[in-house]
Amino acid sequence: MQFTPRRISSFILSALLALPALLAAQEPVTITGKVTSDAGQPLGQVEVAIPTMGLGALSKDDGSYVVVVPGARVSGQTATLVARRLGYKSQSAQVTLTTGAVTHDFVLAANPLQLGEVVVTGAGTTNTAEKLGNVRNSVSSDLISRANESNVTQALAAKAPNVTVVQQSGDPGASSFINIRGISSILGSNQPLFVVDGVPVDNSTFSTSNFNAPDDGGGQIGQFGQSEGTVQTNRAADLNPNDIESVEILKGPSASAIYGARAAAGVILITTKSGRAGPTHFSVRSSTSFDDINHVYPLQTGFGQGLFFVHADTTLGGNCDNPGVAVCARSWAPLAAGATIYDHSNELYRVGNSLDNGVTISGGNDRTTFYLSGDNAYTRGVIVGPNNYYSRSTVRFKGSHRVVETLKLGADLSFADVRAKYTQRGNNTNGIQLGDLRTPPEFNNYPFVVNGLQRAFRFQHPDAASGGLDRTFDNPLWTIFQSDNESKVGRVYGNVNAEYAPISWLKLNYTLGADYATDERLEGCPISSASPCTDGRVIEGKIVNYQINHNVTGTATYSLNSNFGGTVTVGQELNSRNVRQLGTVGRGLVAPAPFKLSNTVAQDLPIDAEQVVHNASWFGQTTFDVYGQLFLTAAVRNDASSTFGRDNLRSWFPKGSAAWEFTKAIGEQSWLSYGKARVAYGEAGTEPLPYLTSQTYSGSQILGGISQGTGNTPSQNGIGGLASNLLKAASVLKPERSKEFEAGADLGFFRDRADASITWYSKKSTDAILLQPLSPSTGFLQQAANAATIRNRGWEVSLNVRPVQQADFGWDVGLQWARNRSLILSVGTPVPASCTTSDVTDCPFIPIPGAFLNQVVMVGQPFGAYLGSGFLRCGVSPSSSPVAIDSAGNTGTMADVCGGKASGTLYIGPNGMPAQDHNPRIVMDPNYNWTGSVRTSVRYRKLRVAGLLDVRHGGKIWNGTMGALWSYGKHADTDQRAFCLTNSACAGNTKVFGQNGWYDGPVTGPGAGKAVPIGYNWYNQIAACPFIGIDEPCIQDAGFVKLREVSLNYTLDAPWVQRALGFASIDVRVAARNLKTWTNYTGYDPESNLGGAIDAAAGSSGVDYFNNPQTRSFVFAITLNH
Amino acid sequence: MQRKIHVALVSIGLLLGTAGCTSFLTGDKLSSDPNLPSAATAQQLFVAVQSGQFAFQEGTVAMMMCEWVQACGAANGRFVQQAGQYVFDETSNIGANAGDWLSVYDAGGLADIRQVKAATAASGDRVWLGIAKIWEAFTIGSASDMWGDVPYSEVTTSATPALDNRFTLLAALQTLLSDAITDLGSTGAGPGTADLIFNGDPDQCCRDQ
Repeated sequence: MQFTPRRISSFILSALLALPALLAAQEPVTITGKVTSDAGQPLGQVEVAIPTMGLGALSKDDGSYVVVVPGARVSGQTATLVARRLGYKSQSAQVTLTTGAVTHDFVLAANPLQLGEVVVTGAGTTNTAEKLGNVRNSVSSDLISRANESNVTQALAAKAPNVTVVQQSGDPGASSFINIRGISSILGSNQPLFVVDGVPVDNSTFSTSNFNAPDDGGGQIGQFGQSEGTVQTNRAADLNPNDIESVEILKGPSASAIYGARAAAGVILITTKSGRAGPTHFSVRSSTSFDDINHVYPLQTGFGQGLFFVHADTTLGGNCDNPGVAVCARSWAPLAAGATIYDHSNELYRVGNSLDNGVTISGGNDRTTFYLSGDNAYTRGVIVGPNNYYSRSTVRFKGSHRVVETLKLGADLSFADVRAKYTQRGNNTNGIQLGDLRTPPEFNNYPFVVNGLQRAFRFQHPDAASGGLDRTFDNPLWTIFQSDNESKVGRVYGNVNAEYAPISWLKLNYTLGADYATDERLEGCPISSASPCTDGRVIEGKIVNYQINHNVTGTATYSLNSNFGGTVTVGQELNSRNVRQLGTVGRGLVAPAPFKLSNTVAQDLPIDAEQVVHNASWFGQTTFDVYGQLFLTAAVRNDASSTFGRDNLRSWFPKGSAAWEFTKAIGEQSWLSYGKARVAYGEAGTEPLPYLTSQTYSGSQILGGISQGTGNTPSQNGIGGLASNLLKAASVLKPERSKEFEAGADLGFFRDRADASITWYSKKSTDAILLQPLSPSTGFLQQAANAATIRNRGWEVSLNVRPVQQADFGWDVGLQWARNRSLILSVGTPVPASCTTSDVTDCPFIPIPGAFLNQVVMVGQPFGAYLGSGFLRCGVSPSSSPVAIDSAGNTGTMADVCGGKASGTLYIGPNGMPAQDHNPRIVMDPNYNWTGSVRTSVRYRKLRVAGLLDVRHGGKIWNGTMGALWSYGKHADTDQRAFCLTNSACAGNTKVFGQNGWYDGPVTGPGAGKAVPIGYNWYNQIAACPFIGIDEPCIQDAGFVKLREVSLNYTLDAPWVQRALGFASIDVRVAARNLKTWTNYTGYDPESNLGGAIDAAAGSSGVDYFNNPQTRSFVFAITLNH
Repeated sequence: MQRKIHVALVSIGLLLGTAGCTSFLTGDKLSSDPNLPSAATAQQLFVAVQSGQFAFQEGTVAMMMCEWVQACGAANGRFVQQAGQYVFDETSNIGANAGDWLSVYDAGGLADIRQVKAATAASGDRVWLGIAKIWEAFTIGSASDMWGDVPYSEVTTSATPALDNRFTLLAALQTLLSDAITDLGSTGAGPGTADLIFNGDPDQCCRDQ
């Protein structure tokens, strides 16, 4: 058709003529009203919608809502208007859509048990809360935002029973480790799989030290050992917690079997926020926090640098400018005359702060919704100087469009840019804690640069020629200001998805997701640092993680008759994970700067590790509902993984559960408003590490040598050489398999005024893979095998009470309690009868790979028990242990001195001191005895005060920092000290073992009751656990009670706010995080883990050795909602 | 529109259904380690053997002998176990380096010597085979010098090889050396410059000495 002028004018004319008729039909209908709770409180964030028309809106904080129906769709018909909000029972009403305004108010009844609400159960399956056969643990966006944590993993601390979160330290960006129901794998990660909007995402932690095997013992198999270097973050921290709508925790195989071989440690299902139909909603959020260390290390300030009461000669030309001089290392002398005291426990710290600014825009109409957010979170750490920060910028878009009634397309895209600078710490002569806490009180760490080179307490007068000389321990300020430890991450993840419902009972879902991240690392250690980088060193590396996931499911809903019905879901998942780690070490800086590999004298062979893992899986789930009260679920997954090895590509993982809402059968009681009993069984797996079935040769493995760096590489004289790998290929490997049985009940009391949940579970993990030691004369050192069996079982209880629920006043309290008992049943070798819990000498065990201490997987013990050394004690040490039995020094055995003594009685030798038991024994179990939390929230009108206590009871931690500082005469305990002229010739400060708070308890032996001087002879020669090897004095209680969260929240939504400021509401929040910790631990914080998520994931937690302190924060936040 | 979507979905389904699953699971970089070679030539292994034995002879053997005759001492907590307490077994030194018996039997030791022997026997290079036998006798002989009875005869047949009586073992090594002399006199190109000591010259190597 051609638009000639004549035709256009006639078109306009006919359009004008038709206008009145069109106008009549296009009059929109405005539905307004107010939503309140049954307690009379106005409810915001209620979705009021006409689902059949795809129209809706969110109510404002004053409860009012407006839904506009376009005139074109109005024909006087009746429509169903539904109001729903999490935590309330949804309600529907019939409204007649006639021209003009329609008013309908809703009163929603509280639904604390969330009955009827849709719960995502993984891999595209959903269920409703009351039909679940597993205990449900979900965390709402509200609880996540109240945690004030930038790392979503840490925000889950104390949110669900048996979900244990441990933060590595208070460094900005420090990793948090999360574990559910105990450690069950030796080589696997033991952390749950993270799934965001249906797509698995990376949550790995990688230590830059792993690029530097010669100095730091980096791992070849997996990523083990993070006792040195800096902390690093875990990749789940790339998520902006403000984008999270809800988190569902699948705690173990009985719930997570639908994820098969990757789900033995559970699954964290994260759903992000979406836009909803209705007016476009803006919010602007800004929060700031002020952070400081929560504990100051106790140091002595009364004694100075030197040994045996002889002060070190610290003058120019004195022997303190030579590395390794013993008299200069420690603080076992009187203070120098007139010396000034410097506070080394405080000089490294400042009040750090963080600033988090974000914007969110969301909205949509009947066909299209969108959610767009942008956020920058910047944390300036508590350590002085410019090199301690973590900055994360995120952008997120989520949109969906209904193309036709049956087809909805969606996309979900996130970008994260993370830049951080970390600080060297830990078991590391270049670490700040080791140098700082060992510095004598009279040494001023300023200036730390002289002639461009380092000045430190063991090297006090650097001249221009001292560049390549070892300072033994770095001046902490030198490390802080002069070294550079960076991570720069760019990450994109998201998915495209389609939802297709061709017929009323069938729905097809397709999701194609990807997650790509590069992490560029740099560690620059300047010239004149302590060994191993006296000449300067640069580590550069890059980690690339790329994951693609395809998931398609079809769900059919059926109903046999009104009493029997259910769903059937069938799906397929393909997953590809690619990891590349490429890095190298440059040794010897040519010029002092820059820290670039090209500015180094020599470079190590690069670490170039690539891993590709593919999975191809099928799964199906069916649910069957009987009489609306018995809900059965059965599921099975068939997983194939490239890690299983060629001959064993596929594996089955079944699951089944039953839930019986018995209150439907017996009727609601006056006190019992809801009751459900449930049982579930499921199996899930842990994939073997890739390539364990592949026999290889190595051209870089170091052969022979008497200490690090003295061996040869296989290549010599310019001719390439290859040597057999010490790891023998496994002929066949199956996935590790965890079989979990869970049973429990969920109850609602007094018309849901209170609810309780109790769960018992037992999880047996078989075929756990370990590297079995081989006899070296077979040609290999070790071989992977499905050999170990590990059991975790325990209880989980939660109780929530809502005593007051009124319009103006509300109060609720939540209690959680959980315990998990870990027990190693087998490590694949026969257990001799002589192996008992009291005498472990003959018990088979495997050392945990990469553990800092000799933490083991030992039959009859909990995972991660520490096989260490203690003092001779009756009933604990072998009765045949030879000991002196009288003051004359005649020898006998422990049996001779232990007659009639209680078990645990401490043996005291003729010198009045305890003595080492040379028989190794289990000296520590790092696992908590039980964990719990107390949460409460009080609401008065628009004011809400909330608090959360995190309680962890039992469990031990090895305080190696304390042992080392005893040895160096720096710990506050050594303020009281004997006067020692040699290792043993001491006088003064006498103590009697077993009395007056000095190792209280029963004692025996020839020296029992003898008063002995306690000084260098004890602190340096016996008690210094990291150096002497008797662990017992360093083992402390790891339990604590921590005031995790306190917050005070006020919502301004009075009409003047809208009039004067243009915002619907303003939320103002004042909060504190980790405000107070109650503990017997004397180090920085019992919630400390030297190896962070890497070591904790391997089961070796409970180690503190010059790790950085934890922090506490005050937070101020304001959110403007439009 | 609706129809086209149906067609598209069915096509996707068929595509997924027919995609080769096996190659998706066992293809490149999946079943075999992409980071390390899965095969090695006689030359590569032979260079590694020499490299490994240099490190062993000049490191562990030299240091231990020196300590045992009390010409060297241990200091600063290093080597105290071996020198001070004469603890010296298959796992000693595992912490400090790769472990003493690993040098004798594993990478760069007997495991790789045996592979050199197999490869040269298969290619018919008797000269190289003879040289490899001499390395085997040298390596195991040194181990026996230090430890006395050591595993040898059951090394390839048992998961826990028994210790051979020292004199039986030395007799076996003597036979091995006699075989080596015969091999050196027969045909074969030899290792050439990959023999880092004698450039593969059988005359220099051992035949007449």
